[in-house]
Amino acid sequence: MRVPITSPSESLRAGNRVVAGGITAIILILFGTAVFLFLNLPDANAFNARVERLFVENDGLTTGAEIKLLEILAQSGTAFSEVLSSYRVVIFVLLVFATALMIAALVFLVTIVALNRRISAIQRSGIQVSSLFISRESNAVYINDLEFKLTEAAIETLSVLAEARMDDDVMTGAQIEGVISGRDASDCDEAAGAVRVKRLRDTLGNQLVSELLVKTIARRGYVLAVGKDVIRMV
Amino acid sequence: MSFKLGSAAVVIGLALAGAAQAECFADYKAKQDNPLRLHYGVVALPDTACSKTAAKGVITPRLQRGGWTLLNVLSIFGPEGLAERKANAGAYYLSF
Repeated sequence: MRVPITSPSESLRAGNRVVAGGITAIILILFGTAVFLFLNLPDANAFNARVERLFVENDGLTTGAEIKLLEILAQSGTAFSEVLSSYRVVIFVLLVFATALMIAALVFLVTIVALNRRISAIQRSGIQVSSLFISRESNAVYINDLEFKLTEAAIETLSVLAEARMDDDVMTGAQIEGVISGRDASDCDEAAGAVRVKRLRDTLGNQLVSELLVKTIARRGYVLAVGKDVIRMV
Repeated sequence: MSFKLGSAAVVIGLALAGAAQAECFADYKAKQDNPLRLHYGVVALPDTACSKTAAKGVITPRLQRGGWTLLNVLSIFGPEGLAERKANAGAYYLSF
């Protein structure tokens, strides 16, 4: 099955677009909700207006006691309006929290999608060396926490190549031989270095393959260390 | 006897003199906002403002000076209606 090719920068741009669009949508939706909620909250003065209407519409309400009673009613309404304004603050804070959480969730979702893509790309590209640790004392090299025992000569070759890599250098066979034997590169044979590299490849390659591909199970035999479902034959 | 009659006449005369400037009164309802306060009151009107609409124009500025807003004018009445409204109006009896 052929997978459509997308470059990382392209998917990054698409991801950014999704994030920007999503954040705008979230803010718009929550802002709309906030406006709707605030508009639907009863006005703090609604109670006072009702009491006032009651007072105006009933001509009989003229005695001092009745008027006092109406004023007390209005005062309890004012207390209620303070509760309303505290509700408003609570609703506002909750909406801000909801917006922040939804934005965070969206960013995490996009990150997960991008990470999944990267992981599948890594899986397809074969062995990805994320750490290489050379231990000269024990003549061993650790690649991604897998330990490989090497001969002293092979460790020398690997160390020379590693140092050259750190300096972004490419070495010829003669130069490798020169560094290891301590002579000048011009006095060394190209073939000698090539032999060293071949030996390193043989020992390390053999162990790598037996660790990653063809495993040995003690007293039972050999088995491929790959999943059943990834094997295909033509 | 004649003295008593005379004093009675003086009392009546004085009472009438108080109301003599105005033959026309109105009772009204007013409010103050924040916090809501309400009152019922009685005011004396000049003879030229003896209707509900004219009374409104006269009472509104008078109340505003005291920080009140006129809600409505209930009725216009003569001096004979003062006594029955005095108790209800209380502190706002002829005070504006």
